[in-house]
Amino acid sequence: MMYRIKILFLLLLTLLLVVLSMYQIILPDRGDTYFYDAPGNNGERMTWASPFSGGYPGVNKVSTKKVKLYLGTDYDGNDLAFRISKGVFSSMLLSFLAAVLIFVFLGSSLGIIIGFNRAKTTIKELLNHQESSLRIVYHLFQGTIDYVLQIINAIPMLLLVLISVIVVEKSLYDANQLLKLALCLFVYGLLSTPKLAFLIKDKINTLEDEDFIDAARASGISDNKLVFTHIIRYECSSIIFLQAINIFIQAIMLETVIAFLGYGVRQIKYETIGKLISEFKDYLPGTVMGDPLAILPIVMLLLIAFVGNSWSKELLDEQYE
Amino acid sequence: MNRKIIFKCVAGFVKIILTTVVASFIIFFVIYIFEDNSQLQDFFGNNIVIAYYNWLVNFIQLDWGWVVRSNMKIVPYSYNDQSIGVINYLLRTLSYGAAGIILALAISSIFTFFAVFFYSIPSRLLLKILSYISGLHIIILCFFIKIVLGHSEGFHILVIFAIALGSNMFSDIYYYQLDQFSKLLEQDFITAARAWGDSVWKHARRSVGLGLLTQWNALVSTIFTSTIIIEYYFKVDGIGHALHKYLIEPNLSYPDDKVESLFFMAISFTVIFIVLILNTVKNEIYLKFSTSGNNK
Repeated sequence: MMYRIKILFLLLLTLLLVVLSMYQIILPDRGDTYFYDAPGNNGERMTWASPFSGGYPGVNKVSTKKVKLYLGTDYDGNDLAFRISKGVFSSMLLSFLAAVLIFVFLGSSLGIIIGFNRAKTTIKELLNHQESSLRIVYHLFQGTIDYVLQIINAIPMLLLVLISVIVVEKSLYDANQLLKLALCLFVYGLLSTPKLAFLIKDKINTLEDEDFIDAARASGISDNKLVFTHIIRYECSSIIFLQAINIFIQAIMLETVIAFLGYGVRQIKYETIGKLISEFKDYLPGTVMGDPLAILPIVMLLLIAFVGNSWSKELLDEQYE
Repeated sequence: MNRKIIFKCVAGFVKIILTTVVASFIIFFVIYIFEDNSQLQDFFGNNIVIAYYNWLVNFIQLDWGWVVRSNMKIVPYSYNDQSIGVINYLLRTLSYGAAGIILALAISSIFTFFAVFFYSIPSRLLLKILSYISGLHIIILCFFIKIVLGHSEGFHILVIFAIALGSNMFSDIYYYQLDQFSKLLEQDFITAARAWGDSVWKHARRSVGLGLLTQWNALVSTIFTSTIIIEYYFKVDGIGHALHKYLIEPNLSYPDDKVESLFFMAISFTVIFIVLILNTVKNEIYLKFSTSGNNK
């Protein structure tokens, strides 16, 4: 019962994110600035209303058309829902295209390379058994890749990402900021590949002793079919899917961290979740413009992403077990 | 026997050194190749391998260079304000991280123990709530701490709570321990021990330790990331604050200046070395733990 409820809620959360990211496409004219049809403190019309305040329709500054602004506006009069929608859309798209694709492709490939047909003997034994030189070279290649992946895995991720951010920022100073962010996320996806590669390697090592693998080999199935159909598709798909979701959310969070540190997207025409977070942290209580309601939608958004991540992890763990 | 242990220790140490050298070379390579305005080209030559060798020799001789903007010398341990001590910062970060991990482990162990062995519903409820809160990113927890406290002081204790909870650290430990304790509950010797009136905690202790060790690799990276972000956000002294002060802030404010590559390399090398030592020690303890369990 709980399992079904969680799946239902997960679907609802996903739907919410999709609807949110579609808002900017359905209502593209909301990119203008607005003021509110209500008097402010000094009798002037308000240019800013906190989210969920309701009651006052937003008035377009140019066309004077009245519209309902669901999440209010920021301090410059921009529709907050529109900005969040743009931010969600570009963050999700960047995470998927820049980080997840390379992670899944390279992680699976490296996992197969270091896991499949791995010699369980030492180099000395290999030489004594007079293996073909090609096979010895292949085993050396497998060992080298394994060692390099272990080394990359040993370096704290934040340090590597930080240096890649600084290097990208400095070497591509005038480039498009979304492109720079995509490059940083690409580096993150690339550096995360050892995680997936080791999981797939372990799975292959466990499966190689199974009877069905021997049976498949005896029936003349090629190595390619054995790896891609029986091992990757039937046995490792849940691992890959689980890890891909994890990296997807982590990439979104990383973008937030990058923006939080002062890098990331800063140009007005682009929006990302990280940019919104770092911009709206000035609205915290105790600051000059402090109002907790102003930052609430953005924090809620991060909460949705994390609850979704936790649930999907739990669900996939259950399914995997 | 002694010779075997000494050989094992030496081999382990050599492996750590080799991995640290290769890992730091990767970072050196990235900075050297992609950043044409760094200190590395200026001081260590145009050939990358020779440049890295020169840097490494200097590093081993404890000549860690200096920070470009303030001209302060980078030293392993600083006793005054005239130099920047990398280990000073690292120790602070590690102590915050250790406090966070001990807190998470203590809360998780105690309440999971009561929830599983004494069927305590409040404990179960509390753990469930904490594990959901633990799913929050450390940045959101920072926001919450700031929203509750504003700019008032006294957040240092909450910082440790945030490290213990944030970015799934607590939930990772909790789920492992719940699984281990539940399996333990089904064992015959536990039923016998309980019937005999013996303390169940005596048997559960091992699972507590194993829970920490199996999650260790993930925890170390989470601790570093969380602590660095917390230090950055609340300006608490540590690696995160140092990175902000000497690397990120000058880089953002004066983009035409050189990147503080010597400072970054010193921090990277030290952090990688410490992480590898922690992981190796963990592997040895884990091996000892699991082997002693099998012998029993």
